[in-house]
Amino acid sequence: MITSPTLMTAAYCDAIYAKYSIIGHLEFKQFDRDFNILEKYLQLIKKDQFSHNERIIIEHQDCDYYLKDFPYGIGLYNLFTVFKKIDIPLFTILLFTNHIGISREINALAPDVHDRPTVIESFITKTHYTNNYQPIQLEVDQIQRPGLCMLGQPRVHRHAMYHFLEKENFLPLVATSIQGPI
Amino acid sequence: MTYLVTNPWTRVNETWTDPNINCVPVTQTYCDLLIQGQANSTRFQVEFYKHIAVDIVTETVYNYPYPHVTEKTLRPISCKRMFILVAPPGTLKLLHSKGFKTFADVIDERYDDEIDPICRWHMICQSIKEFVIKPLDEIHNIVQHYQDTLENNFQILINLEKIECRKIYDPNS
Repeated sequence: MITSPTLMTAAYCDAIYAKYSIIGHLEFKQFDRDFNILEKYLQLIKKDQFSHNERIIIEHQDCDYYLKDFPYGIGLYNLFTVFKKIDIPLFTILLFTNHIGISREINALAPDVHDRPTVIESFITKTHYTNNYQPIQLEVDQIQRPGLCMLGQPRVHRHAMYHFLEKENFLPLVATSIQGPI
Repeated sequence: MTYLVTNPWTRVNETWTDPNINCVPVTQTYCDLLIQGQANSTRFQVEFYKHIAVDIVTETVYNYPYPHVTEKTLRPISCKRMFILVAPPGTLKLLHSKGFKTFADVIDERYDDEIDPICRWHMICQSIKEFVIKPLDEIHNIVQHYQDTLENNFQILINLEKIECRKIYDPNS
């Protein structure tokens, strides 16, 4: 079996590997720039017949790209296209995604109810969640500012938020950080 | 056939701008003294959170068809703080569905229902404005009022993985 590093927490891995027979495990980010990578991977695990319990995990924890008049995320559309091209049934896909509600898009891409991916919608990953949160005391007297706004990677909405806070003279009220061009 | 997304390649489609909203890329680095040097090491818990009341969370994506929750949204919950989400519509609703409670008594959260990104933007800005101009004493009282909610949210967060994993074995749980 070909495996790869995973964003899944150990608890999720244990649960999914216990329930299904996992024959492949990928992260979307490994191939969404070049779907030939996925194609080659799938060629290696393709066989004449798949048992009902076999799954290929696709961890889908990053953003997709949506065009105005195209009903699907481009990445997801490409994923399905490659599976169909290699002729691997869609039910073998187990999509572990933090796109909550994406099942409706998947149902449109895979209209046959007997050949539909398993979708697990969850934002709990090693990147986004830890099971080691430390309790802190809530002491309101220590509050010095109404707000905090940490603007990380450049994005349109973050630039706009910074300009809003600055224009309204809220920077003294909202502790803000933003990274300019590197 | 498969499609190339864009050239240069990007995962994020950010075409939601409006001439009345200044989205010009920020050219300078700015960091408040309160968070100086810690802005990139804040995944879960940091010292400066105890000095603020509400986290204005700019999620990874804003104009997006699905709620897309990351560590940015979970951070104020883990630090027992209130939050306003600059995020796709329905994100608060998603948190409610997991058992988290939010702050509609003092923050206008109707922005979460607004699908249009421009309208939602203005609603979010108005919510921020109404909150941050309150006197600090009043803000202390508000946070005190929400103490149980913030504690409850923290407890839900630390148990969430266990609850969610149970659904794999029993989807109806």
